[in-house]
Amino acid sequence: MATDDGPGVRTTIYFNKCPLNCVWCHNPESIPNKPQIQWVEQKCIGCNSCVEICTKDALLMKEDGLHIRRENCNSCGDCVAACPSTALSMLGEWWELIDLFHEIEKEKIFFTKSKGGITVSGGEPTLQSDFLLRFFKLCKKNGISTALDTCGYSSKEIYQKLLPYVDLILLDIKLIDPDKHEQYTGVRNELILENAKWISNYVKENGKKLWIRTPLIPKYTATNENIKAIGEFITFNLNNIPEKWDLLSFNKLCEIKYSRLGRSWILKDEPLMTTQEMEHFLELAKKTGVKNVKWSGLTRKIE
Amino acid sequence: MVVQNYKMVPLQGTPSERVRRIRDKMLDSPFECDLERARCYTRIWKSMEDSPPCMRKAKALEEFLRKIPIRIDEDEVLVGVKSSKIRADPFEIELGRHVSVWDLLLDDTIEEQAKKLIRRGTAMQRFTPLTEQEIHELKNEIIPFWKGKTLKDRKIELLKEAGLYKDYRGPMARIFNTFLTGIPDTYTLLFDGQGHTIPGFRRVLKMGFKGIEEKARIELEKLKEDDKDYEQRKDFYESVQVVARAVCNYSNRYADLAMKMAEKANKERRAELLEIVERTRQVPAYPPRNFMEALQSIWMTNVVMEMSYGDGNVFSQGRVDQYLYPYYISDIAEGQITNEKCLEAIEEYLVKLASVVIAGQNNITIGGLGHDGQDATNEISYLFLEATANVKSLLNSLSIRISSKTPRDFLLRACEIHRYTGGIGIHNDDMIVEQFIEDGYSLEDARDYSIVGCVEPTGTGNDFSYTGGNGIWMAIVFSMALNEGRVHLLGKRQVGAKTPDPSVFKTFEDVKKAFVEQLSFAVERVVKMAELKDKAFAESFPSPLLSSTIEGCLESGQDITRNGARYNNSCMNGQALGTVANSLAAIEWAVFEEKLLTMGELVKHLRNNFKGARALREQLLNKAPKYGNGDERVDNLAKWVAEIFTEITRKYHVRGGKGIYRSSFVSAAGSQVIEGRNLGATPDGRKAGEPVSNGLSPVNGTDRSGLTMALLSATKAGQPLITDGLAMNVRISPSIIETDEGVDRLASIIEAYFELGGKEIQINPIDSDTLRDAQAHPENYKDLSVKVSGYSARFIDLSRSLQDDIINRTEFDKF
Repeated sequence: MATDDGPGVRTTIYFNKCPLNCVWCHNPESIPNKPQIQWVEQKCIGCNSCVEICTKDALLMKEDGLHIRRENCNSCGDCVAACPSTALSMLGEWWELIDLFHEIEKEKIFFTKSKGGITVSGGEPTLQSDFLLRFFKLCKKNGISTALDTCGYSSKEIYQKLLPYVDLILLDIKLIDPDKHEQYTGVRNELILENAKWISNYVKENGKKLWIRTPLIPKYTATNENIKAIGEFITFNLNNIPEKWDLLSFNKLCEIKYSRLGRSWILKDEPLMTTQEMEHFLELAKKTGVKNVKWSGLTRKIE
Repeated sequence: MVVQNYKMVPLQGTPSERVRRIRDKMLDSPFECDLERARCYTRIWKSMEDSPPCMRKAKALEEFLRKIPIRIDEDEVLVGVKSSKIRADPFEIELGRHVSVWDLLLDDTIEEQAKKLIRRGTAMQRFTPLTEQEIHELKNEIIPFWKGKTLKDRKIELLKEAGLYKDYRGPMARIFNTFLTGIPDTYTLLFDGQGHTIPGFRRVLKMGFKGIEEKARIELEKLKEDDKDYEQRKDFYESVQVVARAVCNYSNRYADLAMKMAEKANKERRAELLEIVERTRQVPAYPPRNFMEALQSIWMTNVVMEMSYGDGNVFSQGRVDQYLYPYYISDIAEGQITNEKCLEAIEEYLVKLASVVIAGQNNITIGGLGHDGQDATNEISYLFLEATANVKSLLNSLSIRISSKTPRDFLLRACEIHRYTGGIGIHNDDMIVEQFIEDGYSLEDARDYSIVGCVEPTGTGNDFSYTGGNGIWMAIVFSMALNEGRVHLLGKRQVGAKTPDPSVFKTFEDVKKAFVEQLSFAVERVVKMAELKDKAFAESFPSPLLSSTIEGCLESGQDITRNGARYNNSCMNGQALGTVANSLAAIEWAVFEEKLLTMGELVKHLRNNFKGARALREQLLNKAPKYGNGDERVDNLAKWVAEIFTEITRKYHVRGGKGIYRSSFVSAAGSQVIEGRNLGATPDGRKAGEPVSNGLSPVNGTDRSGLTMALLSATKAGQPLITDGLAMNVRISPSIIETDEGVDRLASIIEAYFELGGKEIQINPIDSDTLRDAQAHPENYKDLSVKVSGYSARFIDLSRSLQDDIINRTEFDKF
């Protein structure tokens, strides 16, 4: 999403794995639970090094380019190492805590000066909560501000464990209708909405910040009823505790990611929304009584 | 300082109607060649061949100021022209530079000239060919007289005597270039000279040229015949009196003209013209009495400086916000002026500064500390930001000094104007003041530095440490370390130090050692040549007018070319830090760590321009560490290069004095493209002929880890050691500063960068689509200004290859 992952200058770390399976998912590479290889046609020089080194028979060079038999690939990374031009790369990497922290720490002063920090996103980062907890603690100990971007579909215990080390929670509320939620994301939303209430209270009592984020996906989430319902939920059920509600316009930057992963994206023919449509939803959202609603992201120019 | 008389208003992004007319007229005019100066100088030189050089120069200027046709254009309030054409520079024939680009065309007919101009690409189309008559005059009357008499001729003589001339001609000059004339290349023509100085505007404001004349007279009276250098100092004081008088008379010509024009003008214009009469009679002869007179004095001083020296010198303006402040504040207190009027006058001044062909007066410094160490940002500083957003920065760079005491809203405003224009350099005041103290400047003078030329800090009106003119092609020098001191494209000739055959290098240290040897050899060679160039200037081409304004010269009776100024350093420029650091890192990684191939094999592939070695080249390009990503393996090498280069340059003294050669990393006039064109393949995977990296910036497109990491690397590259200029170019997508949050983030990034040890940053807020559209439709982008390296230029005036180089720079689309 072309959006703000929190205030100031930020580095976002994407964690793999997700309990949801949204049809519009913008980070398909972060869904599997192991790294995956991807091939970028423009960079390939056709040297065949990757095919030669692969012991799993997962790669095949044909006239139309490299074919990846994902069922054979064990993500060993040998082909990535052999590729001279980085046409093959690994989506997702295993990181040791200390290495990850060292990389982040280099930018600390940019975070401090701008009141920014790190944001963990995904995927759903809370699925790796042990690692995450240690990482958050390390950041806080070293004066780096933290933000957690979560889909809300996690146990309360995990949030209880993590939130003391989180300054800002970015909570996605995508749909209010539980049936539609199940239909489009694979899970029902009762847990998410319950967590939203609990997190709101926690935030209020502990001086943290909460931003609600709603991706506006044409035909799925970008409907009058849905926006109105989410707005009312924030106003009445979350008692307007969230500092901000972000409406994120649908973007198509992920289309290329799907094709590189050898997949087709359900929304690839859907046009971007127009500024007028976004303004319309913003007005609608404001009318529900939420105090600070913004929209951001790409829009389509009307010719 | 507390700014009381300026309120933040929304930026307009467009100048006043009147200034817009002046700007458009100027920008729509073609570049022309004006022979008037050459005519006058030839006439005087002929009649004074045996006179003292400073007197000859003074008299020639006097003649030029007397003869040049002058004009006052319809909308102008500030008056003074340096050429009889709208967009032409004074023709500095005595330096042997002839007519810059027109030089190439002298032997052509008009038709052939026109063809060549068009063939040379979009930029050249804006040059008007010489007329048959002008060519005839140049070829038969002017140029023949100067054969053997120009500065260039004298330098060649001196170089020959020193046995350096063989290194000076042809391709050799491209390597050991001191930017001296001698090769048919506009770049070197442009920088032939000393230059890059801040004239003593403060002195002119304080004393007026009448005061300067008087001071010279008094000093001359004090002089005794048995004093040291009596003759020379006597001549100097006499020549200063001649030029000071000539300048006052020149200004009076405008008063007379304005008076005449007033008779026929309408009521409104008549009033303006009468004010012009009053102003031009007062300044620059006497001290100004108000803001408008002060600005007129500064502009007219620019005009006469350009006329005395020619176009290639690059006189920068210095701290104009500080010069003007006393006049502004007293006018405001007396209700004599409004901010709107000041803004419009500043806009007109900015447009006038941009009226140069290739290089000329430029670069204004605003903000920063005062003499007392307190913040000196004032109302005028803010007005300059606003005016720059309005007229766009055109050709003149705006240099903004930011210290830890600068008000944050000033920094925010400085970031905000990037919504409207590029071409702005932001400088770390705290670091630069410390560097100046380290280089021997007094605390007060250190705090009072200005930016000259592109991005180079220098003393304000007290310094002749001319910062542009001497340098090496660092990536080419590096390539010699892999070629036993030869340059691949030049065949077998030994041009550098004789270092060992690279195939016997056993360790990475051997590579570094060979590079240091080549570097030392090249720097020594350039210093020798630069000293001879300075000798030629001192002996035969002094600068009485400029000297008369610079602190130290009038007091000592010595011209600036003879170390008369209070400070006298010089510069030694390297560029392509990114290319060199990446090349070193690639060798370390591929040959000594991964052992992908031997040194011998690598060198062979480089000589073959990676023919048949595509996979190797891809590995070097994509897998070797690249400067600009916060990767310590290569950032430490960049630091080492900056350190060793600085250590070598600072060993040498300047013009027989105590000054030193300070190191810089700037790419002027597209020199990264020129160096690249003359360089074979490099170990970082760059192919022969491709541009090298510019200034201190990463190699185009290799800084893939985001803006903060690119800046982090830059702060590792030894910036505190580089006490002359350095240019760190960053291109951002304009969308990221559309919001106030975006502007705030940019400001924070600059603060963090400075705290980490960054000295300078310049931001081009232009996306690739816009630049490509500007290439296709230049007519729509008349005011699109970009930072090329240190300097700014109109994008559409750049050559195609330089435009492409800018488009290929990484565009950061998020913070």
